[in-house]
Amino acid sequence: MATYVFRRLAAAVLTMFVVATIVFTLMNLVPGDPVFFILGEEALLSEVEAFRHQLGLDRPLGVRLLDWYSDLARGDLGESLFYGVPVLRMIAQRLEPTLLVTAMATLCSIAVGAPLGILAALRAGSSVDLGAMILALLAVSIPSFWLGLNLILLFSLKLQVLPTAGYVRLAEGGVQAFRHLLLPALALGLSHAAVIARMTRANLLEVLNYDYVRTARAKGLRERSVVLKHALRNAMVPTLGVIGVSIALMLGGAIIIEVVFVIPGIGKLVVDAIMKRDFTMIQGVLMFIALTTAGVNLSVDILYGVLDPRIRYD
Amino acid sequence: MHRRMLLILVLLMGLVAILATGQESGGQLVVALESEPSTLDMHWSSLNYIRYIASHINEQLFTQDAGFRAVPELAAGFNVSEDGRIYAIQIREGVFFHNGQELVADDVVASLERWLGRGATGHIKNNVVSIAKSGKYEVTITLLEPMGFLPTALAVRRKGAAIYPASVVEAAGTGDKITEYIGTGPYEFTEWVPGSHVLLSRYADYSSRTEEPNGYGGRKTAYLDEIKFVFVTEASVRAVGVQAGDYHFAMPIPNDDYDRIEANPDVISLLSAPRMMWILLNAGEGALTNRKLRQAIQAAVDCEELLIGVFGDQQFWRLDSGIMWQETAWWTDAGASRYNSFDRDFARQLVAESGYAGEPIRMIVSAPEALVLNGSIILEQQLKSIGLNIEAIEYDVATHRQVKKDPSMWEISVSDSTYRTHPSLHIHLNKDWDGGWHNAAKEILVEALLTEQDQDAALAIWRAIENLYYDDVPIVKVGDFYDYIVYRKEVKGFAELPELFFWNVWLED
Repeated sequence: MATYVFRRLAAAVLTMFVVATIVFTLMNLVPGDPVFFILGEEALLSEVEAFRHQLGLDRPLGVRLLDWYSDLARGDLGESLFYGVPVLRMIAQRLEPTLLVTAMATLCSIAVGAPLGILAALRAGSSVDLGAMILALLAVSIPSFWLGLNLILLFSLKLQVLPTAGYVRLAEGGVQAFRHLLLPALALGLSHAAVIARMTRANLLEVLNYDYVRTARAKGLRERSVVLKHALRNAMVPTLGVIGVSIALMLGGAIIIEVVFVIPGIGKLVVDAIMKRDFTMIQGVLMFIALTTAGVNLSVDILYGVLDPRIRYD
Repeated sequence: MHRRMLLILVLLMGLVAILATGQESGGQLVVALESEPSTLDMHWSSLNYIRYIASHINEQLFTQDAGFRAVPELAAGFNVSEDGRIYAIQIREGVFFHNGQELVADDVVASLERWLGRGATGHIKNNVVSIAKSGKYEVTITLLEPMGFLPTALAVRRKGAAIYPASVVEAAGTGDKITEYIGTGPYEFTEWVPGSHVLLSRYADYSSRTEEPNGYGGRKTAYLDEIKFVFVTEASVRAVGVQAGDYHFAMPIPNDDYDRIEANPDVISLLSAPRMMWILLNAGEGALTNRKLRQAIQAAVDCEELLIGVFGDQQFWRLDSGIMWQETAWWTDAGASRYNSFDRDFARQLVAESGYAGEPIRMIVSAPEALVLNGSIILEQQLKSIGLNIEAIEYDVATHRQVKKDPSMWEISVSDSTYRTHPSLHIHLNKDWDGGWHNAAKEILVEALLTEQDQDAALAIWRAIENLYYDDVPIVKVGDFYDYIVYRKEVKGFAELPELFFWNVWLED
């Protein structure tokens, strides 16, 4: 086991090294320079060159790459070129909004998707089923940013019940934070609700035809108990896998939603950094994402062994 | 007893009525801006959003009144020597920075020296011999040549000569951005959440001037408890946010929304001070070093078609030949006969005379910027019609800015300026800027413009420079246009001036 963990850790370090090299090289080969955003369009070439020198951007790519490795080895992601603030500190500040939006969007997608799927399965072939699946098809087809803008028009402008955009930290007030997160969560979660609804319907329909369900009904159990207690449990197993994938997709999809709803999360941080060519910020965030992914994968692999002793690591 | 109570009640009601109609203190004003600056250091960059926020925190020795004349702000007054070379500027006593330090001459000297190294244009930088403390509350600026423009230069907000504590200036030097946002202004810096907002709070010990408010000058009252500048990149969200009451003020708003928002009784629509659209020609390198070819482009451009195509309805733009705006004291009609002449036969004749052999003329386009993209699409067709081989190359904003700094990479770029109050603030006047307009006569005239003490004589010099603009064609003036701004009706006291500011502004219940 220890050998396995060591081997995996070594592989993870190698992976991070490759990712760091690719990220750094790509970022620095892309045309565009952060200095023009920092100094403004009216800066003279002499000012631009002086500032590039000050930031060290005029040094050879290889030298900067070695510095980047050295900083990474010390756990230093550097300072944002645009804001002059440590990248790690900015990532830490931006985690809360992204995680909360994703968590609420996940809840929305399950709360809407699962009941819709169950209803459609129980009334399979009826107009209810048809209606639910048309709704699901619509939801999955509508781009989340367009849905977001329309939700703003409806709930913020027409009904004036929810704020247009922005974010309130949990520490500043749970209710306000919830009000600000509701529309982004809906915009992000509804398309995934559609996928969950379709999966739930298909799986439940399949399970409802199994022998044990027939047996349960034959025993005289109430239909509610048959569906919710016996059939749904089994039907939800594959759906849980879809929910897991949805969470990962929503974390990525949060980028657009964060821009539309002005939520200062990781997604908006990346978009802004790319637009402004804030190289250190882009590199830092991508390394953070890569490190998180590698860490989660490693933990899951180790956990498999802990949970299932039959898995061998030789 | 009853009468006395009745009297007190009436008096109280009267007081309430007076308060209800007068200025009210308190509240948080939320301002939605399109983009976020990289710093609030006024000396650092000419980006509009820096000074829109920082001018609440920092003040200058001089500012401008409603007629854009320089008036004292932190200065108490000034004397000029007979030869016009020495300016002794007295500083107001009893003015305190947000850190509790009193403003003294050392702070002014340190700030102005940094400004000369960072913010001031080359003409001013080269003309200042020294800035020295001549008393606890007095500084003396010695010039190489007399320069009537000096108070105006110290008053302009664009890369403005803001006054910081000497310690803050020393910590940053000229190479680094100032990170301690400390000034003497009516609002003090509270927090900046990158990607989200900047929050300013009322400075309780603010020492205001006593004159009536006039332009950016005079008495400044911080009625609001806080001003929150939020950065909302999505234009439609800015527009909806003001209508829904989440933001009090937003800019810019898409022109297409004008009719719909104007019908909303809770929101006030406003067109900004005019901006200017122009076409930058690379006079320093490549095919357009040929002046005849630049003149051909000027003759071929249909300004009206461009303005309609880019800004739509005529209320958002106007045709005007002036390289300075009609609202300033610097407007002339020097180029009127050559502006928007739209004479394609004459343009073709100039192309023939230029010896142009059909080599590609590269027009670089910043695709995400609607003004540049739409303008370039129309311009490409107009210039192709006179036989120019226009090659439009699209870039994202970051790459476009980088390419524009390399004169070997382009010939034409559509561009724009915000409102300026003095001709010397035009960046295309600088030979070292993009496009590299080198012209010996222009350089002499610009020097003369800055040193001339008499306004009429200075205007005559500017007229001569404008003539050169139309002869030499470093840019083609397209027209003036207005940004669309909206704010809630409860925002009171907002001064409709080119630079955004919210002192003397209050929120009505």
